[in-house]
Amino acid sequence: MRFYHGLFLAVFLFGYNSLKAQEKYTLSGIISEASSNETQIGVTIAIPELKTGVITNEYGFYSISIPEGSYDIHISYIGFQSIIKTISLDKNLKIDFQLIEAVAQLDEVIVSEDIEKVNIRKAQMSVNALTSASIKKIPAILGEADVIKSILLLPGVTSAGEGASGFNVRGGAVDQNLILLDEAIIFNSSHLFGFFSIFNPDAIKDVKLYKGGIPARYGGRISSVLDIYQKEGNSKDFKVNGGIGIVASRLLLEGPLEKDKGAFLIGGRASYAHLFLALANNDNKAYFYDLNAKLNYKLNSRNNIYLSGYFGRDLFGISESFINVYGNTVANFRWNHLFSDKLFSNLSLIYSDYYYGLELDLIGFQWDSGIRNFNLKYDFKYYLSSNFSLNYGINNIYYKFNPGEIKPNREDSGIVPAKLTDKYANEFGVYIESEHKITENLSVQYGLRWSHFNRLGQDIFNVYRDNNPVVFNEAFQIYQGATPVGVNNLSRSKSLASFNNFEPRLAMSYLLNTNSSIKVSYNHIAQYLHLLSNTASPTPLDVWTPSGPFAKPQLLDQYALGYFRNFMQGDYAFETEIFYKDIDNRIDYIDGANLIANNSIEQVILTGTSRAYGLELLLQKNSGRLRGWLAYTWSKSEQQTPGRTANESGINGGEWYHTPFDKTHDISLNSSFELNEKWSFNSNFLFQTGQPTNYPIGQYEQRGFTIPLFGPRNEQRLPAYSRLDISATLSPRKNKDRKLQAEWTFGIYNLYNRRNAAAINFRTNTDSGNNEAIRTSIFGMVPSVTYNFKF
Amino acid sequence: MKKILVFISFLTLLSSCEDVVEVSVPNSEPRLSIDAHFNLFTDENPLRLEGGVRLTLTANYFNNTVPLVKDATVFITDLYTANQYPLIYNPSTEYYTPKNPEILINYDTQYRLTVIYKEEVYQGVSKFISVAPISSVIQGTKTLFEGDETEVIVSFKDDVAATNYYLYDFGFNILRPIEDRFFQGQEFVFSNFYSSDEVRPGQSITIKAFGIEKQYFTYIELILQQTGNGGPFQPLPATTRGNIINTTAFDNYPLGYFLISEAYESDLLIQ
Repeated sequence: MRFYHGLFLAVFLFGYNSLKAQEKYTLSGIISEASSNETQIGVTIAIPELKTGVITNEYGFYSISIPEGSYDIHISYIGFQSIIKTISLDKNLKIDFQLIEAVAQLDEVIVSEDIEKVNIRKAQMSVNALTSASIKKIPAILGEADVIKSILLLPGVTSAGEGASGFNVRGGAVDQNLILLDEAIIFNSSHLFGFFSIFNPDAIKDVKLYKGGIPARYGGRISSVLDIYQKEGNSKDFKVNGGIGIVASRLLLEGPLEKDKGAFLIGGRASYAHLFLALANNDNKAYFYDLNAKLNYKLNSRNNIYLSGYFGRDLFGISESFINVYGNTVANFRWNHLFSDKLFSNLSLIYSDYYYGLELDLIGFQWDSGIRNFNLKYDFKYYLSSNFSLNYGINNIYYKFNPGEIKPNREDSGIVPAKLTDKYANEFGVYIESEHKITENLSVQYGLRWSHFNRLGQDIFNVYRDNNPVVFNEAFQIYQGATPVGVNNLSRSKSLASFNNFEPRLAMSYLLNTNSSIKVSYNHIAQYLHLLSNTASPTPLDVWTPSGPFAKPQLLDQYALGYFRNFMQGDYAFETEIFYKDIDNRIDYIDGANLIANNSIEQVILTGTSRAYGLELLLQKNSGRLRGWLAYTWSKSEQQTPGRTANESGINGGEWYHTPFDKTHDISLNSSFELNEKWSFNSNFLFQTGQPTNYPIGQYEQRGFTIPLFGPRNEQRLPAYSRLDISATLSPRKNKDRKLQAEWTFGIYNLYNRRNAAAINFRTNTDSGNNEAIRTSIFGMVPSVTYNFKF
Repeated sequence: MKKILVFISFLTLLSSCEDVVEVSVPNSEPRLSIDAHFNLFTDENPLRLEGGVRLTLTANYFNNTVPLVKDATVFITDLYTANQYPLIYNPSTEYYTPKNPEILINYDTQYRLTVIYKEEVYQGVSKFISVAPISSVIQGTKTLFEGDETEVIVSFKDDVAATNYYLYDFGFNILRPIEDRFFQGQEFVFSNFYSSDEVRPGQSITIKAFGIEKQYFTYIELILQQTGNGGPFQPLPATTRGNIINTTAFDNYPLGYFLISEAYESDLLIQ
């Protein structure tokens, strides 16, 4: 005890002495864009003389404590004119800065904004950032700019293919990505089975994808965090932004509620391709729409409040027989409060609802399912000194899962109403992390998150003999669901199962010289929700399920090491990372598991492990008329589910097998060229190893059918995927002299019309009686024209 | 029913492109396939049997045919009476059938099938599984994607006492396995759509219902997925195991299922 007392005193005195030695004052404020008051994320505030600096947080706030004196402050942010201001710091100062967009000279027009000058000094690694402008420049299918399609061009990110929703990061599954829209969790990031994402590119301010080195303030998903912040609204002027395309159009209106104090933003998108079908007397339909509405108000210099809502829906119907409706609804209230010049806080209260419904008139039923959650987050950022800042906070999410409810949809239907039992859970996290610049060359980010998950009681919970819901039939060598021996009814205030996990996070960066650094990171993360899916890519009918007595949380350890280098004063940047991920408790499914409308999921799942490792390379060119990047990833992703005892075979004989999203090679080349003030050209080239698949190893006959015989899982591969997209953007000269800024974008997706295989299936041809391999491909060459405008 | 959901949602998604391609597939050692389905139409006099035991071997996927096995010894044992009934190979149907099908229609006993081939003994067990009779088959007026399909509406009353599984045969190699989960004890009404290639006005169609059990329901759903259109929404395929084992050499297991179903048939003339 005396020892600790002495130690504490020594540290305190040391600290106090350091303080006494030189008086430090805090310079803080908000940085926003001059014409709209839109706060800017990630702006660099540097004090070259002290070799120190800080960047603005998600709400545009910065704070740095430096010794008394007179300094030149350099404010820089890509796409904007830099500011140099001389200040005399003899007390705490609050200075807000307004950034002006860099004049559209050829050298300044940015294409890939934040994927540019790599910040080699910061400990944060494995992160890529994109802004709305760069997303809109990347050619996309049918001319619709798309956040998810853009991140697929980054190293370490792939998808299961066109028409597949979700994305895979570093060999991870699609349910392992934490997707946040203004702090709210999104469960399904796509419209129309993955063809479009749910994010309106006009409304986006900042996109960051963390593939590793995930800071302690994020939790709940183990492979990545896609953190998206939308614009808040222009509080100076009324503005309109929009675009008209072949398949969909969008419109965004923003303006002041009270000049310089409050603003609103309303944006919407809708697709109308189905109307063409109607004209052709085809009563099938597929369309989506989404709506974004935001209000923000600056109460005073220390308090801002934000209210936002998102509503999106997809509808997919085949005549009147089959109608599928689904989408996200989110309502979000946030309050920024400055406790002092050094302590920034944000409180978020979020309600989110993901709905999925199906009406099948063929059989006479209506199916509804969904997830509701209430989320409270309180995050603090304490800018203690220029070398040390602390982030801490809590996050609590209460979930209600409706796995499905079946009702007859007409009077003469024979369907008996049924309800799959509602599931309830609560996920709580508390974290503390620090960014610590230890020496001039060494920066460390370390943190700890403690997460607690409680699976609450529900109306019907099956009880099994020996607590074993899956039995192995040794005679037939198959796993079968066990018949429950009883049913429990537990109130929601009781717990079925609870889990606690400490999640350490560590990242370090060491500056080798002014141009290069090496970084290393380690994460341990727990994931408590699982998307049940045993198909090659997620289907619309997949359900999310919480951990419980029969489904343990997934636990990840990820190690990453990287090397970062700038060339030619930042004109070129090179980064490479290697990573290794180890995941415990990955859910696997017994052969032929039927997940749809299954009220006893525990009878078809087994637990195994998975692992992934790889190498990523990224080379970027950030200046000049020709810009772009080349990304290459080599990776391997596999899983194994051995038998639970020596007598059981396990899944796939207990052997390691490729996950359905394992892609050995992934190459993306993105380039843009500014010819002159009127024309700019962009292109994408992608090449990926084919997805793992199963080819038959033989055939046999049963009941008049010829059946393919399959062997071990995922041993074959589809043919390689490759594609070239190009687009040209025309900005008419008239734009210079008028308020309306317009541009035309002409694009061709899949220029050489390669029929990339989305799947290869095997069937007997009914005419010839011979067996055939049928390749399904989704998009051939697709041209598009889009008209974008703003005023 | 769930299969229809997934099937349809995928099918319409693919207003894309399908091409026949050449791929090379692996080879495997030949394995015995035992197709032992017995459909007994008990409401007919005399009792009619469709099916029997058809023995084939596996072959490379792109071969035109599979080898037929005609020289095995096949018999069924009634496990309660211990009587053995030999099954005789019929060259015109390619099935081994019993001389007298009435031995199979006892609900209270269990039957064991034995196949002896190349000195190895294969065995499986099944009961005689009852089926609810078809109450009505009428023609409907609705259509599906193309707009020219023929709708046929089938109804039957499920037996409330037990959890029942059915297999419906609509002809043209269309099989639909059904479980009574959502309509226990009710009159279940559902539709099947025939494409215009399959059925024209003036033609007659035959619809059959067979009684099956839970393990067979899972089995036949998997088989149908593997033979059907599949796509990205198809579960990862695996070797589908049936209910017959090789008692001589366990790892040389056969493919196929032994099933004795009560059957019911109904005809309809299409307008």
